Amino acid sequence: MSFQSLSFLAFFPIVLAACLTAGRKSRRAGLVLLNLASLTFYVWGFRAHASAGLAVLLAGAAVSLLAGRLLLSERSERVRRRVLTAGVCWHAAVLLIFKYTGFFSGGALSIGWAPLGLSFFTFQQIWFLKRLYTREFCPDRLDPWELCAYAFFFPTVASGPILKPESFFPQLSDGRFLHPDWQDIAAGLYAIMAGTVKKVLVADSFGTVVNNGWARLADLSAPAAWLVILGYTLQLYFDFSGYCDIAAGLARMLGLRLPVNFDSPYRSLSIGEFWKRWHITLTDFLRECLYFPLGGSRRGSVRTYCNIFIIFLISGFWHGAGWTFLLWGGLHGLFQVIERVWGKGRDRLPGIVRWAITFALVNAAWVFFRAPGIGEAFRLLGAAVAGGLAKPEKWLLSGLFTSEVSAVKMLLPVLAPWCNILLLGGLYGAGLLAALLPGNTIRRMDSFRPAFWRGAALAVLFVWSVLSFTGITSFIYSNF
Amino acid sequence: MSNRAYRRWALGLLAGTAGLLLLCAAFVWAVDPCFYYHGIGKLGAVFFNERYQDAGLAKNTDADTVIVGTSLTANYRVSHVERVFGGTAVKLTIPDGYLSEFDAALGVEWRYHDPSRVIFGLDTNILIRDESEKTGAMPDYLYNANPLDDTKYLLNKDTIYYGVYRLMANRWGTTQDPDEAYTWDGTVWWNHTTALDNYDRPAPSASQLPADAYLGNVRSNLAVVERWITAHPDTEFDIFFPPYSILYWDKQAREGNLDAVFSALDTAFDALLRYDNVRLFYFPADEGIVTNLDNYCDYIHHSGAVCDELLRMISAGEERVTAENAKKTLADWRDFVVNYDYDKYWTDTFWWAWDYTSHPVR
Repeated sequence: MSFQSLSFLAFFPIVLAACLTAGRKSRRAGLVLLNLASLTFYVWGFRAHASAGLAVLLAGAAVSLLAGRLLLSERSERVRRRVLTAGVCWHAAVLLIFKYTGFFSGGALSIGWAPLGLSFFTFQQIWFLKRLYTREFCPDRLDPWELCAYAFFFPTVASGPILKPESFFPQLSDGRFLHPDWQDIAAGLYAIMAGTVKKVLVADSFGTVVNNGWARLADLSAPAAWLVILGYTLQLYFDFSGYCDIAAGLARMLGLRLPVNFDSPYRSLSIGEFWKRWHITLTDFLRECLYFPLGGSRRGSVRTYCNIFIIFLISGFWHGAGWTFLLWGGLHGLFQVIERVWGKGRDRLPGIVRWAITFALVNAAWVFFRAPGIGEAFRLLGAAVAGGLAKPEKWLLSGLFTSEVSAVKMLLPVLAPWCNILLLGGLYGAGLLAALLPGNTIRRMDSFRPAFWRGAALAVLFVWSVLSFTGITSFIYSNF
Repeated sequence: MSNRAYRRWALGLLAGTAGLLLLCAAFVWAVDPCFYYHGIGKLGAVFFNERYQDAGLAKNTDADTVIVGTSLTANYRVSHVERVFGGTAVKLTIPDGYLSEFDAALGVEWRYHDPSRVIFGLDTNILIRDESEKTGAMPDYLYNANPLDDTKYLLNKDTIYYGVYRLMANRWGTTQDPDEAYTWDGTVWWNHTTALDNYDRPAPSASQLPADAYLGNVRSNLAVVERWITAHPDTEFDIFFPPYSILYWDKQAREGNLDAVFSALDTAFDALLRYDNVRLFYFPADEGIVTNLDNYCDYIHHSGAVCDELLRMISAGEERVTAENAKKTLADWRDFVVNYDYDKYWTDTFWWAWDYTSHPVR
């Protein structure tokens, strides 16, 4: 069950009503119900290997609980260090076994599946243990139900954000937990609807163009290749940012606040800044749990550059077990090293130039993130440079808002010749504006003011998104 | 800003959203482009996608005879079926369909009705195909018995579009005759030149596919058909193999598939001839039809005129395969296709002969 499904639209109101009703009588009863809902969501949403996947993550949560209790009660630093090491090794080993044995064994030992959200779960659990070890998070006791909520909270279980323990656990004892006021409800609805629109109408539409382009790499002219590259840059942003908005909105309606995970990353003037704005919780985790332990920037320039490079290689590998992801991470590490070497000379460049360089590099690197292989990535980049200036073919837009375009052609035939241009201009124009201009949705939730026009626009766009959940799969029989 | 203002806004947003969704659902329910709730009804029909409309046709047509099959069955007219067999009929075709898809369509039919006859066009291609390669084109929510997931039909921008399209077609007078639903024989030139143009003759293969190559798929697919037959002992199943053109056999011979195809057919004959409520017809062995390429538009699809002739033969029990003649039918046909002179279609003699017979000198 994904957030963009009619079943989730039925699931969430029921869960919300049940949890809030139970939470008013007893915070603990509400917490237990929330956990049951989260486990149901997990099993329902991850049908293949659901029980096994849940068992693996429950075992991981049990390890965290045991290790966490030892870290809280044990006074010997030596023992605490061993407990931390054992806990981290467990989580890292599970991640390696499920997601990377195939890569390291050349496919010979691949398990073929991994528990839903394992990468996020692993980093979050490691962060939890690390913070307990350093006593930056030091609760009086560890409650299994609270730990279960931290590990399986349904808005975040599949794709984060990666939660710092002290940003989550204290909220469970806070008066707002399961007691949202109407401002929370309104802001939550706003985020859920805005996130759904981002994901369904924007990200998936860019996805259609991108998939068409990748399916016919050899036929791409330079303008078409750039549309594919830029389309994927925007698709990825709206996809993940939309998810985070929905997750934050769902959490807010349950009386919980999630950290900001995206902060207009495509406005960045450097790659370093990009990583302070893109998937912020991952960057925080990597900086705190890997970069600093490696020595950070305290051991000279060369060591700093090596540490940056290592961090981004690991980041790339975390995103996926493949050479393309490693190359993507390596490129981001390399770009940041170059920025540091360039130093203040780069800062003296006009802002628009720095922005353009950063945006171009981010775009180029995403090509490797999306590519099925390194060769294909270079073919797309090659087409972008030397593909000729022919205008993009119609097939690039095949499947994009098919019903909407057909309806326009039927009801307003005068617009028919302009449909593709309007579609392309509208999608990319709106996408770029929405990625570059408005502020972060989660921040806007805090300063949210209800307005009629906002509600009307949200209702119409959200209904359009809901109607797009289930489409008639185009099936063109052309075998004769 | 007061809590009350947020409350008013949130509740207003929820009410507005729910109202719009209800409006959309009500529109789809009323116009019903897939005939799911009201059948074809009083509004003129537009036929746009068999997989989306078969469920409604099966559910809402109380038919005595059901004709089921792939695109090879699309050019049958319901009126003709009714004329030949009497009573009422419904056509459930699924282009490039899989057995599980036909199973879903007939499942809806049997959930709501009890037809006395099922005419099933069992293509050889369906018989041997691997179910795991099925696409996700079938809207399962229209075929299952769960009314809750019908929301996927009601809240669906594509069905809204087709709803508007149906209304506009009624306004413009461009609706379709239900008897012509999904037929496409009027859009193609049935001629040997079309057939040969649309046939990519493969290079001869040096190796032969083993005789048991398709048997796993065949047994799985036949299990579905046999389940229908045993679950509905009072229904007569007229199962026929549509007559692919002789070019199909050229293709199989050149690709080295003959052993595997004949083994699949033999297995099907053995399985289906065990039931009293089955009449089996093997039309690919009708030399008159399959060697006359003017009946075809490619190497398998035949014209509507051939459909009419096949219906007549089914009704009359001609070309029927029985336990007694099954082995001989296949053996004779194998002998025929192995020794057939396919190369003649690519010689000048064939073209001159065609020119002469088609345009005789006066």
